[in-house]
Amino acid sequence: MNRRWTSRWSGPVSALVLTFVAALTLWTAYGYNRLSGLFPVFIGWVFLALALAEAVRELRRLAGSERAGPVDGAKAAVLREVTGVAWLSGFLLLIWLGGFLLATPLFMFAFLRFAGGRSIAAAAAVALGATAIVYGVFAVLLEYRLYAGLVFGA
Amino acid sequence: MLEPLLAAAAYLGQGVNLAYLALGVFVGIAFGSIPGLGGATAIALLLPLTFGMEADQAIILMGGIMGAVSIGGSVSAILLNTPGTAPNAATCIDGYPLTRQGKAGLAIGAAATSSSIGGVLSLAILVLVLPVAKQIVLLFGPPAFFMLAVLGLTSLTVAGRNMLRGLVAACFGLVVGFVGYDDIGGTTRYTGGIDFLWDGVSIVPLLIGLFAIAEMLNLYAAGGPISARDEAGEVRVVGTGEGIRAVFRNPRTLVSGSAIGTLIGMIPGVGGTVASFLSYSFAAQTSRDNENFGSGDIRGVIAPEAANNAKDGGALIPTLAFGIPGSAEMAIFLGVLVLHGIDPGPMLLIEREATIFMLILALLAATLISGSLVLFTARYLAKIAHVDSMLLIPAVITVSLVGAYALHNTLGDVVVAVFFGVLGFVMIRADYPRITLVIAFVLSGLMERNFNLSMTMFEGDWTGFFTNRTSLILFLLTLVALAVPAVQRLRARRNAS
Repeated sequence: MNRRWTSRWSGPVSALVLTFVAALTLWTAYGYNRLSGLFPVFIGWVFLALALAEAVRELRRLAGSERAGPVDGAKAAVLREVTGVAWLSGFLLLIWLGGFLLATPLFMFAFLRFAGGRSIAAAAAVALGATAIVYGVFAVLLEYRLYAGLVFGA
Repeated sequence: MLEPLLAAAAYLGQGVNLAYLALGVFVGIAFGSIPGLGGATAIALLLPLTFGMEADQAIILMGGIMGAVSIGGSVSAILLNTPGTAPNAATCIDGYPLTRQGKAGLAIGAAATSSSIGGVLSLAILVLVLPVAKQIVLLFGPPAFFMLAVLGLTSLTVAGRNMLRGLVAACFGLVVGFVGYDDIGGTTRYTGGIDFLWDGVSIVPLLIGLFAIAEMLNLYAAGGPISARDEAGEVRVVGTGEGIRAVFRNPRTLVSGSAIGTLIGMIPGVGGTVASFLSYSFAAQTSRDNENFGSGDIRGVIAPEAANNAKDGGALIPTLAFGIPGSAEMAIFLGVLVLHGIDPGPMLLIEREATIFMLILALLAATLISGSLVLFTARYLAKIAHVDSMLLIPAVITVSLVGAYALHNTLGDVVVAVFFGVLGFVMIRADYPRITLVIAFVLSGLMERNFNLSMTMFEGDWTGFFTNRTSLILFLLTLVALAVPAVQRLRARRNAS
């Protein structure tokens, strides 16, 4: 399984984002009173120093990889990663709007049909079965009140 | 010691608790068999189901999972040449050649037996060490506890592939731990004006996101089946009895594997993969007639499997004694304790002895039950590893998000789970270790409390950390840990030249 990003920009970008987060952490920590800010300030400085070191290392590596030329299949890999996050975000949006009992079958059906390449009948059957299991386990057996969704007045 | 042990045994023996143990074992074996899932995902996914349980019942369920995962993982390693969990990779070296030779039953029998005995031996060591650890804990003051947490986090990052990234992830984990209302200073920190975050980031959605959801996104991004179909999946598993006997014919390999596993398990973050490979190479180098190692020597299965399961007992020592988790599973287990109102700090060992024995007994029972179960079900377990990832991904994501919501009946937790799911996925792809983030998050409260107490003790003079003897020793050990990669690089360069 390919666990590393194929894009050569991913390392430097993530290191720079972390450097920004570290700087923000430190800057915010100085705004707290002495008791609340003592440890965050200490960690903030350590975080910033380490993130900067990582960013410098990644930028130097980037300069080296530019000489080596582009990486094959990077675009396709990044596209698949973005699609995965889009599926998850779409599910979250569906839950927010329609609640779990509407979002679950819709997400399952759409995922199985379009990402999994299942037939309409198979995708529908699995989606309905999964919703029944979620309802049975969480709402009936464990007596949790499942979120109803914005559309249904939650 | 006997009284809490007996109380724990009586509680575990109750019907409903045995059912929870059985459920944990079943889930542990199944998740262990499926490459890419593993114990951390299983525990994170089942966490929400424990909300309505008593704390000890939740511990039994989690003990069942932790005791069974590594045995489940050995089946797919032996039959499919695909390790169910990373530590099972060493088992592939000799396990799969044995399958190709028609001796799958021999390998499965040996793996299940050595794994069970390794687990039992390490738990016996744990029971012996705990009273000593209890005395040591009482000697530690706030500066020593702070430095111990620093040492734990440092050794975690040193054990990883990239120390700098590990340290950065640890700092980020500490910052996530700061989010929320600070009781001491009376300030809300890092909430970004979001009221929901006043209570801080809950550990359950964080774990669900970082492990269950992130792994599913990674599975999706990787594409293709989890495990390629192979003729080994159709192999007959016979002769397991011979495998069991083989373990008892090689006591030296078994004991050395168990000892290596327990010792390595004690070091935070080093984990099962190092333990099993170290145990394998020790067996390969020190055994007589070792020319068959790598092409189907049964000792090459016994050694890593004994170490793999034994590491759990070792990892429990820092987890229970000092509240410093030794692995991702242990960090999540500490999350289970927090969820059920148990403070996973150093006082756990002193105040909740019965709970600790409950966990030890659950692990012991799970190790023995899963070992026996695998002997009869190995052939079917190999088929689980072929499960279609396109079915698994939406199912796990759905259960994860419903579980995250169930914690406080708030959509905010679902958003937190999704956020950490995406973050965990980015961390996997960009090669940042998630385990250091989780362990730092878990340790954040303990570290800040002890840091502030120490600074009060030292009247604001931070050099006090170096005048306190225990704290100074731990600081020097931290420096030694930080120097390890540099020394290794230097040695490698010298060997190359």
